[in-house]
Amino acid sequence: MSRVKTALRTPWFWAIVGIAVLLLINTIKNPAYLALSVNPTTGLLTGNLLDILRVSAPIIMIALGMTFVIATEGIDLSVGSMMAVGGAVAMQTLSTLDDPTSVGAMLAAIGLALALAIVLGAVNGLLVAVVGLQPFISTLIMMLAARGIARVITDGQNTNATNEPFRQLANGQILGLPTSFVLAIAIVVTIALVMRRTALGLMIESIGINPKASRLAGIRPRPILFGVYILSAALAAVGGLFSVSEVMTVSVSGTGNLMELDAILAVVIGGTSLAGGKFSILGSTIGALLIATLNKTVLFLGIPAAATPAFKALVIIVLVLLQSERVRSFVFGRGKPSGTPTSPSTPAGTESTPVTKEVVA
Amino acid sequence: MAHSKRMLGIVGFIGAGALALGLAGCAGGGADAGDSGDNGSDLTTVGFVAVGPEGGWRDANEQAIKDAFTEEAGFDLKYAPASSPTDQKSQLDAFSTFVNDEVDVILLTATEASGWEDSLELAQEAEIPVILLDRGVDASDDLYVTRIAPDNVAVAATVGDWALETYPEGANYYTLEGVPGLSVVNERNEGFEAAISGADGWNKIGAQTANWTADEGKSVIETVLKENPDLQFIFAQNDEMGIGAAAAVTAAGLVPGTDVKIATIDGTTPALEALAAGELSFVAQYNPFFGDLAVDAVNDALAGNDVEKTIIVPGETFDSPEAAQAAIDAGKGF
Repeated sequence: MSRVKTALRTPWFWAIVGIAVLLLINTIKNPAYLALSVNPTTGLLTGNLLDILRVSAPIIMIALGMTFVIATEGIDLSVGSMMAVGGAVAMQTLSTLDDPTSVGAMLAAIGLALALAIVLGAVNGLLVAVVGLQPFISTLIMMLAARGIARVITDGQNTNATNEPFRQLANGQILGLPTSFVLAIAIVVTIALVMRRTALGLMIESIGINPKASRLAGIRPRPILFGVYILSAALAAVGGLFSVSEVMTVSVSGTGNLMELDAILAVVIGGTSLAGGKFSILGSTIGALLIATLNKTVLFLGIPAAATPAFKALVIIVLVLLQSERVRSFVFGRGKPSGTPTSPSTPAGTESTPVTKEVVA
Repeated sequence: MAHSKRMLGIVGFIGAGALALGLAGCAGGGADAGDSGDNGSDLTTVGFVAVGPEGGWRDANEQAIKDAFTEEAGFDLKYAPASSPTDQKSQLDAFSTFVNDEVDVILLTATEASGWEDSLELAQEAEIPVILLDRGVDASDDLYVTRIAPDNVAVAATVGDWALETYPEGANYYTLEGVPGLSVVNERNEGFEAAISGADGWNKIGAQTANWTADEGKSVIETVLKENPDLQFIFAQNDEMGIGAAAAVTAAGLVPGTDVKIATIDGTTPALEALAAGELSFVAQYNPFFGDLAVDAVNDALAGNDVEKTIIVPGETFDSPEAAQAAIDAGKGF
């Protein structure tokens, strides 16, 4: 009983409900929506679910980096532009190398992209941790600068390249799952272990709660702030690599455009407080999956282009309202100590369905 | 220590100042040289109020203008790009500088349509003809000689005409649109729909924005193909989205060009390469190369001849790998 209650209070619980509802709507439209099959021509497993996992990989990456930045009471507005930088470096490297189809070329492209992202992330860290600028301003500057840098790297062109190993990042599969998704989850698990098995995660949270007190307690905020901005930039570059490997083209103005907003939303839906001081890696990952599901649902339902932002906004507003303690107690009845454990979740499910359906119609 | 730091600051300040002055001197010197050259010979001075670096199309377009207005052709072109593609103020300043310098003709590609009346009236008082390139302005058409531009409706209509020929019995088609709300998007829809309207068998499966980008184009089409395996034709409103659509068609195990044909607008080099490789089936060029049309218009205006108020730049279309390869070899990509 208490476990169900805890689940209801966990913010990402509602994100999972959201994903389930969206998938349900799609299945109602076409009962074969969830079906997986093997494509006879390519020999790969195909299905809408796999598409969702694949397109979620870049969002998971930027949301993961954003999680730690937000936990330090900061924000990183440059992740979308950083994706463009990562993609631009990779495409430019692959299109200029002599032997562009080898694995070595792919590793060189990835290495250079990460190296530049780390430098730019360090600039963010420098502006925030040493110069003491507001993170909002520092990363806003970087958001503009990084897109300019991407433009300079590709000479203003939308550069394309051919490299089969690199293309497999997004288009290949490992055990039937999209390669980029598998890699993204591996990165998430690794970073979660590092954060939670060491004191690093705790230090990030303590800086977010009270930087002065944590300094008095012996935690030096500067290297940690540097670290989170570098990590965020590097992960965003990885997201950019996943994104450009889809089509092997970088669009200097389009790649990662407005993705910083997706990242912030994923983090907030996942239950990380914008006031800093706590973070949920699992929550952010589920939030990223929700945004990917939402993007694909919009396409599947064929919602007119003009109405798309409104539809997405409505779904997210419903979710955020469900997460709010006050709205929940208002909707489900205040102070019902012995409410049956299943009853709160059932009306929630049935209630949010008509809301979203109404929008669809 | 503090003293020397301060000295260092002063030295730095003076150094920066000297550098700035030097640069200004250089710029001034360059302009003077241009003027004296102009006075010495019979070159026609043309002031070009331009947009500057904005993207592949704009670069190709402004380069074409620069290539056409050469000294050999009898022109002294003064190129004044905006400080950013959205900065109208620097364009207004450049425009009034050209009027004060009494250039012979002004070419204008406006960053914004509104707010040009006063400047255009000044030019008219000074009897300097103004020719609009690509973008129009919200002003009375008495204030300028002509507007030279490719026409989105006409370009999209060529896609529709080709589609009618390729699918005489009609087809299930899908439209990948650009960023919602832009006039380009509406005009390209209008031209295509008008061309195929009235023909039988055309079944629009849907339309969705892919925000001009390849990865979103791929994402949209892969989902559409799952629901509509009988899709035959995709009209992508720019090259990038078409290239993304081709990737989605391939990933679905279908063959672009055979199972699903894709037509795009713009005619960038990557699209011509994709057409040459058989991934795209048709590319309609939104033609940036109208330097010679601009030269003709300038000469007509100076000679006092009548000039049409709108000159539509005809665009080439490419419908086969061979045509695409020839276009790439001829340097028609951008």
